[in-house]
Amino acid sequence: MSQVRTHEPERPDHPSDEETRRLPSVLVVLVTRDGMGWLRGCLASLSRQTYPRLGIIAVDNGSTDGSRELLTRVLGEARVIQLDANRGFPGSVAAALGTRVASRADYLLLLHDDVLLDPDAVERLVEAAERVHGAGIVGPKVVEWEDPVVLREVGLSTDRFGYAYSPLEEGEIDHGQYDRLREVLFVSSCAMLVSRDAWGRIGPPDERLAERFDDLDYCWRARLAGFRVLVAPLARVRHRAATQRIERTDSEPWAGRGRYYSERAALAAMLKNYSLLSLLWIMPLYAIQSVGKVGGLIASRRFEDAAQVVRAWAWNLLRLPGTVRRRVRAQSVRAVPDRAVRRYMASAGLRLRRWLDVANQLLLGRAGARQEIDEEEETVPTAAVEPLRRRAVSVARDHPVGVAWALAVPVALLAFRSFIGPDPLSGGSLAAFPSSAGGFFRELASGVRTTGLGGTTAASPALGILGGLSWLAFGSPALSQKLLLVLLPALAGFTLYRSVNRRTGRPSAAVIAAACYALSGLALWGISEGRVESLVLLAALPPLGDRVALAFGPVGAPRRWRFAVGTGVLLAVAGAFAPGALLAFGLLLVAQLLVGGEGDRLRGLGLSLGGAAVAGVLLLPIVLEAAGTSGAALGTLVGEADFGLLARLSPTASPGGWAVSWFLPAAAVLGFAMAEGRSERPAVAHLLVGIAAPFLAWGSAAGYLPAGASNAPAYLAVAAVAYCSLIGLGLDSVLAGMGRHAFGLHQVAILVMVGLVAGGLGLQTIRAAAGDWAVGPDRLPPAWPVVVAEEPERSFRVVWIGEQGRGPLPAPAGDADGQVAAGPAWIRYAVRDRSGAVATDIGRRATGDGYAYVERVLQTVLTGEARHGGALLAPLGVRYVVAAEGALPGWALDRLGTQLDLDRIPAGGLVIFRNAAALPRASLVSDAGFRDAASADDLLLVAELRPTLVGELSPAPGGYSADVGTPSPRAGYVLLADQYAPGWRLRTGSGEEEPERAFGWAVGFPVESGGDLGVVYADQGSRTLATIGLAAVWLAALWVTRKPSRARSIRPGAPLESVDEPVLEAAP
Amino acid sequence: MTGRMRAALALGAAVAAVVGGVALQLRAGPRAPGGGAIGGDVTGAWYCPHAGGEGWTSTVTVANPGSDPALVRITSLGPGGAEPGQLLTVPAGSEVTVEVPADRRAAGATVEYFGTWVAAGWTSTGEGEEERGVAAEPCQAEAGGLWFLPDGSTEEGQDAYVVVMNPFDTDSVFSLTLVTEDRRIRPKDWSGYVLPAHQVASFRLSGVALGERTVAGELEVSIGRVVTASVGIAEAGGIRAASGITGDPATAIHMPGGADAGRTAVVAMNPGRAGAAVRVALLGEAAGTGGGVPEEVIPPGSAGTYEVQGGDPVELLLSAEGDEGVAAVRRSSGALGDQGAAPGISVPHEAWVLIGHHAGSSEALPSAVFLANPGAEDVRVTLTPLLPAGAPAAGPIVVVVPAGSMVPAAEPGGLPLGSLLAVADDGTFIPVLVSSALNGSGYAMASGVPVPPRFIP
Repeated sequence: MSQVRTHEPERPDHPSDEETRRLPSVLVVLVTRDGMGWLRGCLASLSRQTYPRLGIIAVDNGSTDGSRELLTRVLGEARVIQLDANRGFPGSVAAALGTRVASRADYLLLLHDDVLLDPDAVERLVEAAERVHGAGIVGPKVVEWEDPVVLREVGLSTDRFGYAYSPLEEGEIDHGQYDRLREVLFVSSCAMLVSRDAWGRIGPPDERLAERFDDLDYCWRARLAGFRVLVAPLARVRHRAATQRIERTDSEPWAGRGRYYSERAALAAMLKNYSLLSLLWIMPLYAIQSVGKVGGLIASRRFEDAAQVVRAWAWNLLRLPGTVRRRVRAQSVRAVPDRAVRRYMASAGLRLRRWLDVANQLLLGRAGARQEIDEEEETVPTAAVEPLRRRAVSVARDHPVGVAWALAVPVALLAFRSFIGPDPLSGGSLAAFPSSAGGFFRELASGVRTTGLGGTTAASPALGILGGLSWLAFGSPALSQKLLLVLLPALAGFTLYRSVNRRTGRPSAAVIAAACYALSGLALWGISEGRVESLVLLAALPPLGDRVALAFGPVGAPRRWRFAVGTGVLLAVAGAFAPGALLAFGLLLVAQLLVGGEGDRLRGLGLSLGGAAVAGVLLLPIVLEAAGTSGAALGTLVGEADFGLLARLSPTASPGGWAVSWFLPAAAVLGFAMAEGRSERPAVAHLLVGIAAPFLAWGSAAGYLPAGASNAPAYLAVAAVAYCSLIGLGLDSVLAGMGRHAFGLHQVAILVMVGLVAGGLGLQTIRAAAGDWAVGPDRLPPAWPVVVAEEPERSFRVVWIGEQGRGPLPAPAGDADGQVAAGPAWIRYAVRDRSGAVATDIGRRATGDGYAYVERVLQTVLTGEARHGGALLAPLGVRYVVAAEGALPGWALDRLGTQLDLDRIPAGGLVIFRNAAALPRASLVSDAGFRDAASADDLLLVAELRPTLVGELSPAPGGYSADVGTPSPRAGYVLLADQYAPGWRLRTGSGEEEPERAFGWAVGFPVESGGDLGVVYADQGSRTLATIGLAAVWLAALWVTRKPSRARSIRPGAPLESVDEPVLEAAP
Repeated sequence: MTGRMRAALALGAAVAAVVGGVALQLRAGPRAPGGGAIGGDVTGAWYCPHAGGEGWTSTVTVANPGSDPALVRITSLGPGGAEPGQLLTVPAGSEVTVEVPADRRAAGATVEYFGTWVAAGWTSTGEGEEERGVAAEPCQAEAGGLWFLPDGSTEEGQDAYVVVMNPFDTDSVFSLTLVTEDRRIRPKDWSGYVLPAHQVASFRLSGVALGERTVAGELEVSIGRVVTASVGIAEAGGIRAASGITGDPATAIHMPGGADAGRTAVVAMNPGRAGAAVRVALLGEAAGTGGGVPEEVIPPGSAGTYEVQGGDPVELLLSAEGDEGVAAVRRSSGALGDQGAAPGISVPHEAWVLIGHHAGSSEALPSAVFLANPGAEDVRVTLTPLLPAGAPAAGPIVVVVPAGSMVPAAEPGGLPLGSLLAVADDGTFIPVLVSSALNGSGYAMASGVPVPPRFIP
């Protein structure tokens, strides 16, 4: 802000009458509403004013507490404008401006009723207004009502988007540090001196804007008209902020809605006051950051705040005509360009500079501060500067979180450099995101599964989350996918940090544990393979562990119902992405039951199971599917049966699973050995989990556990939490007991642990920074896009296969759907369409009769004597059988190679067999024995089939339609190569036909006559209702666990920024 | 818990975890699939590049040695593509013969079977003015990517063809190289040759390498799969055919035969990178008579034709020194000059189906069977006729084949007209079926079809 240089005149104690007549007249417009508690003080302070030419007019907004009577009694009825209803501060001012007395006043002092003025306040304000040329509005220094030494406001600024900033620190004491006349962007309307010229040109405040949020617009308009807005700190007022304190009888509606009022005022002010040219670039940016803000608020469960932002936009959109009218008026008096106003706005650069200043101070430390002082004194004792190493250690000790973030950002930039750019990601086990956010919602609401082999398995609620995130990412699922892969590891580190910090209260230990977690083999594996679901699980497990521990703790949960719902929501979010989260939760629960907390086990069990029950309701589709498959829906085939690899927290070979990652289990063991005192009991629980989890993971990968309990990544996630928590607990104990132990084994162990952690983290960081991920732009095997491009029109499926133990299925197959015992090997398979694995299948397993048919065919082809694999796969619509090079044993390749109707085609990096006999996903075929084969459970009949394709049915809303016209003269057969669901209907000219099972798993319709055909799913309505119901349950659960609204405040305590202050010349 | 106790517990837990993990990994390992259920449905296919020509008649014979009927679909292929297949049932323990189009050289057929395993073979009979004789071979079970076709000669009075069949759904691309005794020729037109799906092509070797005593073919497939056979036609009359040889060349090749006119040659090609020293020995009673072929060195990438000196019937054993081996065909002549050829066999089996030769769908040719036992123990072989439905029943014939010898299964004319299932009680053997027709002017020789162990009755 600029400092206005003035020459203080000597003021006589009592002006003469002549002098008084020469003074400008000031009319105080006192706006009141139910202010009996403080109005007397305000009136008294007005009566004590030293300024002689002062008049008062009060506007009462329908007070019911006696304020009106008090005003009438003190000021007389003629000086009180009585409004029947509350018109707000702007409306009240407008009412006052319409009076004759107002039109004759040189200045108006707009005043709230909860303000106490120092006796010379008005005099100082007028003095400033008179001395600075062009001053239109002058505000005082505002201090706290109860504690006048605490500053409340000394002029305000905003950023480009109208968000207000104050230069004050919270609770900043008034030492006179701001006591100079300064030019600012705006001042508070609690006490605002407005010159007649100003209000004459700009009119009254915008009556649509609420109290507290009208001042920015009003001052901005004054500036546009060429007036200066000043703060005269020598004029001091005390402000009670009664409305903010909810002390007025009708101030309840304001409570918790500050964000709404500030947002709508900011947007309205921008729309009215920026030039069109400025609006062209400001508004798109503002819209983008609003979308991001809404997303962030929703993600942090601040739904009310998010709704307030949306409402603010809606308010402005609905009142756009009125805004435009007011804009015309504001722009009609424009005297200065926008850049003249922007000089008083805070910029992003300023914010950055502020951060740099803070960082600089941190790095320089106290020695730096001393140096600055010494420089001023031109005696710089260089020896006094602390060594850089010591300063670095000091900074790291004092600000571990900040240092961690500062280190993490450049590492992340390096690690994810290949993600930068518009190309979508592919490779690894990445599930492709749909082309639009709507794709998630369509699948979520769809009655039938559009992926894999179809069927009616409902989509995971995770799709709603992914759809919402994609929408927030400017409608770009590809961008949201990148953001998830980048941010989820950081979020995982953050949640573990919070978990350890809660237990230990030692941020430094928590930060190191969090770094170990974010750089663990599992996290790097998740990034490398593009496994959003595993990263979500990693992020969710620490708080889940905390909740389980809290439930078993000595105190228990404070609000049990909310606690159970909160636990359920958290578990449901994790389970929606990775159903194995339920297994992980179970493992945590068992550990607590075995080790026990200091509290009631029964209570802990009850609370935890309550959470699980809530999660079960929220995950109803997954739970139902799990129940129907004996729990198999919770399992996965991901993981190699390599104990060493699993103990290093890497389910399969990945960048993070190299030998260095042994540091984590080794450091965890040391951490347990060092954990003492309060850390001992949780350390035992973590040790138990840390040992059991890798064995469970190995049992899963090796095929010894039941399908429903086999989930190596889930167990490893629990192990990761346990390892890193042990490290955190151990470090906490070490740091707490430093110096208590004599030199000996303890110190040696500490040194070993420090070396392990430092070396391990350093090398893992280097590995991560190398960015050698399996996912990235254009990471599909070179042959695959070429193959797919050869058949752009046709719908087809692909069976991806590979032997267990020969690495994961190649991209874009994703994870295996199942496995078959084929001779001496397990052959894993996945059924996909041309897109490969898709994110719309997240949290949903491949189950059903269709998959049983696939397994039967694979077994027949690979181990039996059948050589018509193509014909057997034809009803599935399988056009290609694909494996990675080296992923199949020689005998399996030979078996495939001898199939009469599977032709191997040249493919770099892949082994691809093409099936010319494949039928489209929905087809009309001639019925030369087709119906007999379809209705019999006999693969021989299928192998014999040589169906004549009459036409392909193309996808249509709700199903498929045939543009085949009249089918062949012979009877035909419509085959829908989706798993059977009774809701499918064939619509012909003669009515609707119910389906029959084809080949034991698919949907078939015999067609007796020609004509237009359509296949539709008739049960969509019930699925839609179920989806709506589930969404309602989720919303209810989220509402129960919502966080309270955090209203924005521009008063001290809000983000603090200083505003550049251009120097003004004082008025002559 | 004291610090020492914690340290001990941590150490113990770590050791236990490591030991347990290592033990699990090394002792238990991933759960074995337990062999998995074997798919019980049997389907398969035979590929029959039977060729054809003016005045030719070709038949495909399918023999079912099992106890269940088999459904069979026979599809004829030619240069213009495939004709609609015909479905028929082959009753258990019998054979079915179907005449297939054979009016052009590029002709073939595919036999698909469903339900149980069957064997298939083909017979081509030339009764035209210029091309007379009989050729027969078993159909081939597998297509391949590298084929050797040793049997070819373009000497005066001889013509040679390579028939290539693509019965699959994808176009194939291959290159055909001719290998003579002293050179290799790869005609430009035969490089990167595209054979569309379901088509057959024939290549006349004399158009490229005329006047060569030995013109072998080496066919390398770059895309897709094909099945091949070589066809030889003598100007003086007589046709012969030999199935292409796929897979690795062998160093020990058995070539039984008999009922010929005494003129027998071995045609061998060496596709390796080093010279191969080969010699052909006579087994059985003829051993030690000094017959056979003395050691000859076949330079790398070349082929040779070697007349065999010795008696009749006789089994030949070709031995090649070196790691890479050779591909070889036995070529014998009938009484009136017609030639027969059959590729050598490197592995004896326990059971074989010998496909009967047919001049037409209903005319079986009289045949003789010779059984060779290269092993060290005598083998008792039971031959069961697999006759067409309605044919008079015939009982099995039991033959004991002494170790290291070859014997005829019956006197000429003593065998029923049709296919035969030959099963050794204990041990392995190699059979060959020769037939003569057209009043002795036709002579054909064909190996048997090994029966997969699962389907041996």
